[in-house]
Amino acid sequence: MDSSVYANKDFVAASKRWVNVYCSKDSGHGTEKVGDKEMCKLHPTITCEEHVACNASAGGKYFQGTFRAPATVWCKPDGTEIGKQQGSMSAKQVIEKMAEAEKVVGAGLDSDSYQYLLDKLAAGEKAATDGKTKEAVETYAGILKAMGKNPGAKAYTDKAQAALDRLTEEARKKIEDAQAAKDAKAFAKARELLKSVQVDFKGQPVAKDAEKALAEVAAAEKAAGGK
Amino acid sequence: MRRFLFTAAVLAAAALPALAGGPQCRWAHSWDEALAEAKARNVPIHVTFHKDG
Repeated sequence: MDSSVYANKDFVAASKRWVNVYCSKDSGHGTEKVGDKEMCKLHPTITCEEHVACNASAGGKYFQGTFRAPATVWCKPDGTEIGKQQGSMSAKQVIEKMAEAEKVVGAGLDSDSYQYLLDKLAAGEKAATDGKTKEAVETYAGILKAMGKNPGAKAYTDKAQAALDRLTEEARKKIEDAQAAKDAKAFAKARELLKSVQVDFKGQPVAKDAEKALAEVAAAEKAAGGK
Repeated sequence: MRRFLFTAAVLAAAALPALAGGPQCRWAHSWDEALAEAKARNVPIHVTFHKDG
């Protein structure tokens, strides 16, 4: 199965919809250098120590005593077995069995989307921490646009929405401060606050509110100048 | 028989780089990592064993 299944392009594409664990206590196939690490020669994204350790961790969970390898197990996210088969399987058979497991588990995230969400949420958090509000807003809004309709991404889009809501709350406070500045006839300060909201939150509803408030500042300034 | 074993070894050695250079499945680095990621993504786990237990 190493060459017939795991290198099969259809299998590789489909495997992004699951988490894959390779278990083998055999390390006789050797290693190869990848960067500065000695990786498994059969599967260079993991080390032989890792597939040996996975075999030790998972082996006893699904088979008691001797079993015939290769063997394949498909399970729920908590490791509960859904089904298993001893003996070789084709790429198509594995894909079919895993599709059955996906139906049992429900909507989930493929590995590319998962990585995208982790990277973007981290980038948004860093931008917000660094005071780069515009970048943070664009990042969170981008997550919602790209993943908002993906039911498997809900936990992550909820995080992005909550982070965007926190930033929006800060923008609303700026608008309140601008209104207070306008009332105190500190028009330049009011404009500065409102323009920063317009720029940082471009495309967001709060930017429209800032635009309306700016018009009010302009009218108030004109009225004050006219007195 | 020796010739057969030699041929098989040459073919197996030739297949390894091809396997490494083509599309690759992403394998979890540990069982615990697999469980954590499967839970975070809400996806099934595909476990494959490659040595007689």
